[in-house]
Amino acid sequence: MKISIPVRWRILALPLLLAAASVGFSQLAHAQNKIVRIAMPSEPGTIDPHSSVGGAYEIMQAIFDGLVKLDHDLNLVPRLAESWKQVDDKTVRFKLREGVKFHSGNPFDAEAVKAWFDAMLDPADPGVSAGKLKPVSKVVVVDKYTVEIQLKEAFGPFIRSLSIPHLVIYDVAERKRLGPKGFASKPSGTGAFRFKEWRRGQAIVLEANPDYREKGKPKVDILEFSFMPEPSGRIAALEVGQIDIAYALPGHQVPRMEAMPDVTPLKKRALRPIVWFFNMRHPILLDPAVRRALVHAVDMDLIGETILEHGGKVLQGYITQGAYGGLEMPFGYKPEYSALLLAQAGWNKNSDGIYEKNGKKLTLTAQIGVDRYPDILAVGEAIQAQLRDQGWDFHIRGIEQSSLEAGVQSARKTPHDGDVPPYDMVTWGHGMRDGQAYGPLTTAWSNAFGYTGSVGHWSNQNFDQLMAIAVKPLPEQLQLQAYHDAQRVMYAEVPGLPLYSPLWVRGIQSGIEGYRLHSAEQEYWEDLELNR
Amino acid sequence: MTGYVIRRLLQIVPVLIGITLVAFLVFYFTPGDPVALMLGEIGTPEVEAQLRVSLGLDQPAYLQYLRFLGGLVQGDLGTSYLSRLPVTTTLWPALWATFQLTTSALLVAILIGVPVGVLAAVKRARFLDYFSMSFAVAGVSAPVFWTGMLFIYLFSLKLRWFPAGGSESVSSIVLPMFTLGIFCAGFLARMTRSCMLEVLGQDYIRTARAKGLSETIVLAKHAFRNAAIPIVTVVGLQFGSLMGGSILTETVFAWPGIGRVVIQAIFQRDAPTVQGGIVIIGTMFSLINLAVDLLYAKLDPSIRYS
Repeated sequence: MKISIPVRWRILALPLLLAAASVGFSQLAHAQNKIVRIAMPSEPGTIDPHSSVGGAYEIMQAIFDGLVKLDHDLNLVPRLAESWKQVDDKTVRFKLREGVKFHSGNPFDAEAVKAWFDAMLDPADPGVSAGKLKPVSKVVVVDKYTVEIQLKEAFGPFIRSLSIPHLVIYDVAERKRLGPKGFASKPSGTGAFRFKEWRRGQAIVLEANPDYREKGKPKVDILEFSFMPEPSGRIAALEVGQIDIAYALPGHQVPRMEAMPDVTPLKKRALRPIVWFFNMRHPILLDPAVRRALVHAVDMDLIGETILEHGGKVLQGYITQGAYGGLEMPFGYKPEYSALLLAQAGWNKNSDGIYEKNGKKLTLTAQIGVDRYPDILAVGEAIQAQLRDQGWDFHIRGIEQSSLEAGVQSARKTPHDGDVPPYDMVTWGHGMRDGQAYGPLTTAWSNAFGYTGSVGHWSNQNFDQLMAIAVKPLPEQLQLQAYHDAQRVMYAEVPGLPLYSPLWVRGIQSGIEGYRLHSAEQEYWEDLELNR
Repeated sequence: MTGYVIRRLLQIVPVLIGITLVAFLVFYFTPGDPVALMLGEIGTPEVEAQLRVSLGLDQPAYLQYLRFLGGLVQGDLGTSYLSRLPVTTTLWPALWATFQLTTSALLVAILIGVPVGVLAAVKRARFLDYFSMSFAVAGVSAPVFWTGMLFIYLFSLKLRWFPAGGSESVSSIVLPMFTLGIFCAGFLARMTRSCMLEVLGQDYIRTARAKGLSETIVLAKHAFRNAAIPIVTVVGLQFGSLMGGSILTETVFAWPGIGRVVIQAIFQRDAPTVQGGIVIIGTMFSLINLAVDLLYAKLDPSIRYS
């Protein structure tokens, strides 16, 4: 018997068949290639290192390399540079790896490195991370594989700062050939993976670089970065095997992932310290006794045990433990001492149990960027409760992190005698991608990077002098001494309340090997393996 | 009719100017310098100044807005602060994704909501009426993010029928489509029921029945066609609002739609992308409204546009 199918049903069936076939082919391709699928919270604007402003470093570090890198123990090790030598206080000479090529086929050599420095520092169109290269005065090509970087003045943290993902080297010749827009759509670096396609809104796909300098690497064929804004969505996708690596998961999801048979949670404490900086122009906080009373009134250890069980670790000083130059110097919870300090400063409790001085309450409001760091709001609420219990009229105000940062950056640019910044206290986390105390300490340095003020408008001559010493290329012991002394000044002057360093949590599928979280928020993909 | 359409199209222009101006002013007066935000801890005053010049943010506000309008006239929606690419690079694929989600959700809503509404009207004050209206109220009341999570839990985690999110495969659209569709189906069911009840009480329905026409013909040809006009309005309005308002569903299911793009751009202070998105959403909304008005005339011959 012949079955006749009406034409309209055939037409309707065609797209379905094509869709099914495309899904089938894609699954077949997945089975043949070693594809690792990574889910990130948001899509970056660009992956061109010249103009990328964040959110893309993990992807950029698969396509591009820097001259040096920080290993997982925070040691500075060669990357595109084979070795380096400090010629004098102001000159560093890099010997480059030979035989390295950009994905475009252009050679990577001393000329390429010089071209990159020149492009990043081009006054007409500087790279967005040019500030990190501010100490550079001149780049000289010594020979095909040797390049010399001359600094304007001695600057110790310089070589280490070259390891940050903002300063990966891109193919300047290719960028010139394609133009900035063309290069943004087809970037070229020397990394283990090269750009394949960007399906806007869906995924950025990278493929293994067959000419990668380390033979036998990379060990997977495709890296596919997709974008899932909801943490619960990323977890669900991980649980059903739709993705292999899920980024930026909340700490409280760790037990859930531990219960999943094919998923392993990865945790790493970030070096990034989060501090509540005081506004040093605030009339109440001008008094060092009040600042000290506040830090001793907060039981951060209790907060660590309860709220931060899966979400981070309480800071034991202004710099995270383990960072180069960090000093362990906790304030400690001393409520009686705190009360004594306030009494000596003239603050006494009124009939409602609130501290008052000359008829004015001890009222302070801390601004919290609620959408950046895990558990920050819960930590803020706990501190608020603790301080209120002790008689402080303390409030927290949660705002969008981007508004908070913009307000702080804008306030940093106003002169010391300018308007009072619109916050009493503000949460501020500073990345430590080069693993050294220098970066976070610049937030307290009153003349860092040309800004006229530190985050809280604290200005201390001793601290500034010690920072100026610490950035000289000193022997390690002396440099550490300067960093430690600078932190001792902070401890004495109390420009802020150290809170915690966040815990970065990711989940990976079984079969993913060679993937490790880096405490300095670096991402190295060449060792990634998929054994399934 | 042609004159009416042209007039309506021209009316869209001041509407768009109005909403872009409001969006621009809101952005302009919102605290937060986009340049400082973009550079964050890597910024220096020199780089900030240079970036401000290259993005045109060094110019007075009115010039920035006029430049945006000038570009708009030439079909240029601007260049994203973040990607440095035309905003359409991001917005067109996002619009297409939203269009796919919205049309399929609306289809689900119509296929569920209209029959349920008709059934409830026909079986008024009986079990089926109460049951279907309970369903409608539940559909309207349940927040889409909750329904979405529930669907992920049931159909993705437990039954493993559909992906938990993304848009990589054909089956990825099923869960967001039903999440959004069920939400709209509730509205449609309630609207259809009340419109049908009103029409079923009319004299001409009684006349049609008295003529001996079958109940199916009475309902489909005489009742439903007349009840359809307000239903079409609701469908049109739902379509328009879903084009810009399916952000929660898009976020829960990582669907790369225009709402998600605009929200992300708001957080990143990427004003050109937000303004471009608003122009597109506003235009779509206006065009859909016009299409709905034109459809009235088709459904009701007594309506004439001049």
